Amino acid sequence: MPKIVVCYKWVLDEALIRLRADESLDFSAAEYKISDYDRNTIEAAVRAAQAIEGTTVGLTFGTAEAKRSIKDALSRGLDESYWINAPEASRADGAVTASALAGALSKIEDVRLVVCTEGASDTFARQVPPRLGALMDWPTITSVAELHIEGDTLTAVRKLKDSLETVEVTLPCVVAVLPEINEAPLPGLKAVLAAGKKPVTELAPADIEADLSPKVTASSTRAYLMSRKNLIIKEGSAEEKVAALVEHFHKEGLV
Amino acid sequence: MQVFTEEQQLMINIAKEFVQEKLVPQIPDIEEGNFPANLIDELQDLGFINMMLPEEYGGLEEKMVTHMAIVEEFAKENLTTAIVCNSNMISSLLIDFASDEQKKLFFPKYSEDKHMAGLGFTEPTAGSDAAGIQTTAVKDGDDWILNGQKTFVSYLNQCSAFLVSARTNETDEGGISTFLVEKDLPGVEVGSIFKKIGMHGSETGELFFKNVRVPAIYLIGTENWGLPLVLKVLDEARLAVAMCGVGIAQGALDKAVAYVKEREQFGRKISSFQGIKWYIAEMESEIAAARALVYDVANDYDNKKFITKGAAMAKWFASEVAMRVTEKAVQMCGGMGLVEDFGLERYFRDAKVLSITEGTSEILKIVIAREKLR
Repeated sequence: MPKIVVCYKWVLDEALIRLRADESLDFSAAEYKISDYDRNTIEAAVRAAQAIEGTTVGLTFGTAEAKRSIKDALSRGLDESYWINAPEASRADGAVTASALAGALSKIEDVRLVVCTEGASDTFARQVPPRLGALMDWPTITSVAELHIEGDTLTAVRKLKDSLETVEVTLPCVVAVLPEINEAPLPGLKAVLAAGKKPVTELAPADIEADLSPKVTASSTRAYLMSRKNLIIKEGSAEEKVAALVEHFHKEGLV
Repeated sequence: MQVFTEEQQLMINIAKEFVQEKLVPQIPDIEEGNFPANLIDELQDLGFINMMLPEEYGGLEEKMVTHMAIVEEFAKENLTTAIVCNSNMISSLLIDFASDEQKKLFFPKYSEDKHMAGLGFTEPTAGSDAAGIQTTAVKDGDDWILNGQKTFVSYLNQCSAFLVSARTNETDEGGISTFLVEKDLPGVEVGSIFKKIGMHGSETGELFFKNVRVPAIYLIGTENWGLPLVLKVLDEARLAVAMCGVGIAQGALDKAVAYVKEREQFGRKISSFQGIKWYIAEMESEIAAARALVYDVANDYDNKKFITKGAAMAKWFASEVAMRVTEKAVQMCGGMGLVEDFGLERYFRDAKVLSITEGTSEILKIVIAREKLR
């Protein structure tokens, strides 16, 4: 049965990351979660699998922490899961992640499609899908807002800056989908209980052929502060206030 | 601190997401008394409602502690939905007291077909005194003829049936039976709907019965011995109300804390003032204590222990904590605490409901003392 692999990332919940007075970031209260965008990615894979009567496989490259992502991902409709358990994931750059995912993909038979998100919700680097496609030597389509599969042909609508581009490829391929591709449903509680019974394969770095040495290393992470205008329009009727606000937007070049 | 399995935590996370994504945008409508019909359907589709039922009756066989954690997540934002979020009020009672024939008849309706059933015990002359009811049921062939009235019946808008207590015998031996009464039966009439201080999404009011013919199979439990069944329902309802108190208190505190961390007076965030810090410390500690008590009783329930005293303790304590915490939360936010759009005054109003519904604080203390003195 053809397989659709969906790559997802286990990230810190950005809403729970605190900003210290010195602009450094405090991660101590932040819980992990599946990247918000990856929820749509998983849903895109589930729908694609229905179209080709295939099965879905979750694939994540993460540290020991990422083990907790597996049941969550499986409860969202995936049939099985692969987890590359590697401490190297904590400092991986796009090249390392793509290499690890490609190594794991070689262990999964009959993969017809790999679905990634356009960018993870923590870094939004947008590097992994193109690099993964290159390593696999498969066609790669980014910025996918719509996806259709018929037989061996995948048609995707790419949302570019000023236009929509429709492209066709022959499977297998890698696609990077935008979050707007669908509305990801919440998993039902029955699906949560069923997730624990689905097959999970854990891979160690030694099990895959991959280069896990990062070429880019992050030396520090600091928040940047948005400077606010603190403009308050107090005078006039509601209509006059709205007009003054719109005028301000025009002056700022925002509209 | 209650420890949850990975599956339980995932369920709680789903509840959190549902609350933020689906419930919160609809709270203004709920407050206006327009409870969205699809909300119950969505909760049922996701598996929240009836989650504690056996699988054969459409449930997940989940534990009371999971149920409680989910109730808290809903109560942090909206009391009306928290009460109905994951428990069809009569379902566990049917498991314990209904015959196999009754289960086959009722469960498809109340688990798969998304019908909700509520409770109708209180009467104008019988509130805390559940045995003082005047509604009667008289046997007529294979049916019962029901006459009388109930008041303070909640969720009149969401429920299609109500578990109703009625006097079936005038002797001292029990004499009260419980019936599942469909709202659309001839002779069942909804009376006045009360405008009340809180819990606005639930239509609360009167239910009249005028020669209502109820088939015998709708008598739940043993004829004339319905009072223990009523009290069992109250034990579970009181535990859920207790957790609603915890959720309301936590939701109010979280909102107030967010406000005092931003609000500046005299050149400082007001969270830096000692008076505010003392409030926060007291509120957080009281909430933690109430939550621990609720989970203690919920664990007893899961371990098949008797919870009459525990549920009364939890409900009394948590509902009083909710009142104290929401009052302080409003105070911390000053004028904004009074403003409807700010969203905190609703917590204060809803908290007051909790120390009255399903047994007043005073009645609960009588129950607690009675059980202790046994």
